[in-house]
Amino acid sequence: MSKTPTKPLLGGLGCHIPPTDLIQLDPHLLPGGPKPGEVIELTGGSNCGKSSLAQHLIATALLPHTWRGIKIGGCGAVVMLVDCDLHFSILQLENRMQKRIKQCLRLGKDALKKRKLGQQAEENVIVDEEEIRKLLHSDKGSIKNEIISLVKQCLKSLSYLRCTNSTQYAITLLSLEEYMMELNGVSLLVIDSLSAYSWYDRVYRAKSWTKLKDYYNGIFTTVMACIKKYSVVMIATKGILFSRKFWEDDYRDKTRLQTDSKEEGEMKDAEEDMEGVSERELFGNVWSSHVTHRIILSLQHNPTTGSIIGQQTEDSFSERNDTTSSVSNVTPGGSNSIANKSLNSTTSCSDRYMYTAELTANQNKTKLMYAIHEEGIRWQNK
Amino acid sequence: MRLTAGMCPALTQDVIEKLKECNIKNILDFMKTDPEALAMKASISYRDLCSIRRVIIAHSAAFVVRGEDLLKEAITATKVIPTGTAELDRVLGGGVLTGEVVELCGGWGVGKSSLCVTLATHAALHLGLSVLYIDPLNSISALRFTPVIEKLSEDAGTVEEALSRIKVESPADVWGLLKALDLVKQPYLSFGRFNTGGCNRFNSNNPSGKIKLVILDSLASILTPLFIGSTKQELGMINQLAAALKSLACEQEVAILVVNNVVQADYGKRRKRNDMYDEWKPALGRFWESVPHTRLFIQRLPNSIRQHTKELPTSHAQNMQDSMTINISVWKSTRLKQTVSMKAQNPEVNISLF
Repeated sequence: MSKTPTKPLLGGLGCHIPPTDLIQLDPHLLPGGPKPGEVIELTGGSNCGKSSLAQHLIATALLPHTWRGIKIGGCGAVVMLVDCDLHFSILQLENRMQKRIKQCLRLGKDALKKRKLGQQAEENVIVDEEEIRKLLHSDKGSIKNEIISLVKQCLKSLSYLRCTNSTQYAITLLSLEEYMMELNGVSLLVIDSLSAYSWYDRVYRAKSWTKLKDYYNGIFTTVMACIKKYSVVMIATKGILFSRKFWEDDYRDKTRLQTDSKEEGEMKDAEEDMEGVSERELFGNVWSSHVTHRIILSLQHNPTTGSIIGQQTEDSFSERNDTTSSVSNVTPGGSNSIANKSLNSTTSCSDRYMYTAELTANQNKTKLMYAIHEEGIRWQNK
Repeated sequence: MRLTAGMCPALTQDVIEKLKECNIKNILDFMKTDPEALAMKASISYRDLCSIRRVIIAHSAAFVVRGEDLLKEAITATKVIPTGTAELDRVLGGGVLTGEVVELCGGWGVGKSSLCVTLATHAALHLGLSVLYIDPLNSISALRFTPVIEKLSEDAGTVEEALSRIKVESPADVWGLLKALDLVKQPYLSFGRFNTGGCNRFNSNNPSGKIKLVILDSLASILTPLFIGSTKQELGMINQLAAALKSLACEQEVAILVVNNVVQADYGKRRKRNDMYDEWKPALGRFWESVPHTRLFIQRLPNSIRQHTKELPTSHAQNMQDSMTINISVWKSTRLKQTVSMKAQNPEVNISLF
């Protein structure tokens, strides 16, 4: 073999940095953390918080574990995001991460106060008391700047890949190995919406559903091999493409799979539980057999018709821009009022839309509820 | 995508023939195969295969952007386009954001097009933006603009100059639509309609020819003809169009406003008793449902229905004479979700149109 092609080989063997642990990724949803090589699938209908949950997990993965003596609870990992739905907003992610740090800072402050009064403080917030005191002695402006630069630092370990068509999507997935070598130490791969191009693929690439599965099987065999080889945790969101009825009809017509009535009955039962979520795998058996955690998300209607606490939470963009009347640039950083507002918002959980996440892993089912807040997702205790 | 000779110096006709023997006909087949195994099977040098692979990746795969650079780019490029109505701006969190696809949906004759005309005029006149107004129904006319313009206090010259910044396209089908969207990619657009000497002078002083706002009136009317064929064909088309719209929005940093109808069909899904939005659903099916970043639902308020329920509920002429009040609520948003509490998550505004 000649000399030039040995570069990727050596890259694969020698220079590969083992990825960071993601045990802290989400103690509520994934107690014990995802193990390297595991695949987490987020499914659900439109507007049920798939991308939000994915973004929350990205933020956790990017943030450091501790910062200036305060426990942030992140993983400090290198994340690769393949964005096919084009719904990702970096400004939103930045905003969320900043809010999250500010919240931790506030918790740290409270814990310090408690400690001063001789009460039992929450141990897990404070890692190094001296460091926090030093930080709190500096003025507000410099703390703010430090937070901004910390977020920027974290964003350095995010690699963003935007796929704008089906071919690009397929080739990007097939060349994951090359990306993994280029971006050393990736520990989390997020694909926002596997299903972004499935209809296009179905119509223009595959003549039938079975062919489409073959097509996806081909792609995911490569992807999964790469995930295993580089010990990456993969999170993928997947939209629901069709209702049960339509899908079943089509399935019967096109593939003529012999489904005996018993099996079909089971299928119906399973589906009724999930309100039209089709359990049959569109992406082929390679994908479904590698999924270790399947999380089904749904929007809970109106949990409690609680009172609404004022106008405490406005959108960040309006905060940034409410004085400008014409087209204006979005500036990062947020305003001072955010801190106060977030304080209020901690009390207003009951006013928010609740989302449910049903996790299926190792044949165990758990159901969790969460609300989406400015700084990310907050799990609700039952 | 086919493998063609000359894509890469290593990819000669000879190599293509050898690959064909191994059942590799297109780029995807090639990318799926492990180069080491292929090198042995097809007796092509591993080095060549790797360089072909690299060329394909460079050409077709996504480009890696560091989060930090992405943020820098977003800060400089993202703009908020206010809608001109304070209440709507509040609901949208400042206005329409570039890089986003916003959907306006509502029944027939509730004022979707009127709202679009108002937005286009506001953007062109007060913000000095170039607007692409795609109108497949050919429903836009001078008459439609008249009531909006009449309310303005600006002098005729300014208004005319502003209107010249609104480019109206009326594509006949989806392909026409895709072609019309290509206009957005042009760095500068010369507008033919009011191309007087004065206008040219102005434009050269203020080269704001790049389109920043695209309004696509009645998407459903353009896609409905496809329903006649197979549903799958149509869904494939929707998928393609959705990808085209969204990539256009983020690559060219434009805001796209799409008008959609609402239907009562529930896509075969068993309806639940307490469905959140009664029976109305956006048209174009389940796949399209998740495409826009933000979805606004428009309803006409009862008091204004009284004015219009004579014989012609959708009559444009009537809409123009008396102002009407519409109610706008947010159905879906990727941006507003986590920041807004329940009351404000489904915020509603009532605004008056002319």
